[in-house]
Amino acid sequence: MATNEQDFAESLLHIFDNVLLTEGMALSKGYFSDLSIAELHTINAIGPYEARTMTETANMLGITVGTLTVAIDRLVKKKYVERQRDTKDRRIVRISLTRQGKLAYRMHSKFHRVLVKRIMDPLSEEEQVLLTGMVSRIDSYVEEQYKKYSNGEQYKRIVRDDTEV
Amino acid sequence: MATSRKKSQVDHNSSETQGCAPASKEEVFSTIVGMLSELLNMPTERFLAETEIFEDLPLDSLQLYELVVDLESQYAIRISDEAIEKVRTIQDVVDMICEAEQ
Repeated sequence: MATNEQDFAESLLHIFDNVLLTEGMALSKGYFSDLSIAELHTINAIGPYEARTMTETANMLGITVGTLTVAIDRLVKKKYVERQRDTKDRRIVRISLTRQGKLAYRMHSKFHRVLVKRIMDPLSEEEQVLLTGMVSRIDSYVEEQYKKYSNGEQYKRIVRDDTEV
Repeated sequence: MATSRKKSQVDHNSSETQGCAPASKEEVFSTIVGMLSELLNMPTERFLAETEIFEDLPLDSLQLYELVVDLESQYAIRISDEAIEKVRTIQDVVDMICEAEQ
């Protein structure tokens, strides 16, 4: 049992590291080599359709609006994101992806789809259902752990950002 | 020759999907052909309704997404990855857009 747990712990960490590393490598060799993984995840959170508010996007990424503003400034400069003022309420700024941003979004989601397909394809349908169920239980558990910590973290981040400014 | 062929193909399929009138199906077809021709730098005559996008054309995945993103903004529709996977011919793309518009 102990070896099982050890194996599992090692595999989980490996998967986490290697997915990020492979993502990074794929990115640097691909069409969007001027993007970092973090920037790609920001693009992912904005999504290819409706324009989003800064608060909405920051919440989705688990970062402060201050941190997001810096990231968006860079992405606007690189022409992946554009800002528009709300037509009704001029105080609200919305962000959306440019054509180039949408292309990066599509290519990135393809990376994930291909990865999943390669993992799932050799498995039987029964195994696929089993794997999906177990992975989703891991996901729920990790998400729960994150929520336990994130309220405190959020507070810390805000304090830290304020002191930086 | 190419024009008459693509016309008959479009009319032939018009009963299969109710999303677009035959006239607008033709408009969608020529929009797609225009986009493909520009993306691949090939004359419009090269593209027929039955042209297979992945088999007959040198379209890479970035160019495929350029087509998808441009079609989404042209027709204010959303094209899912599942829908893209089902597509084989240019006619399939026309049908996909017409169904998405409904």
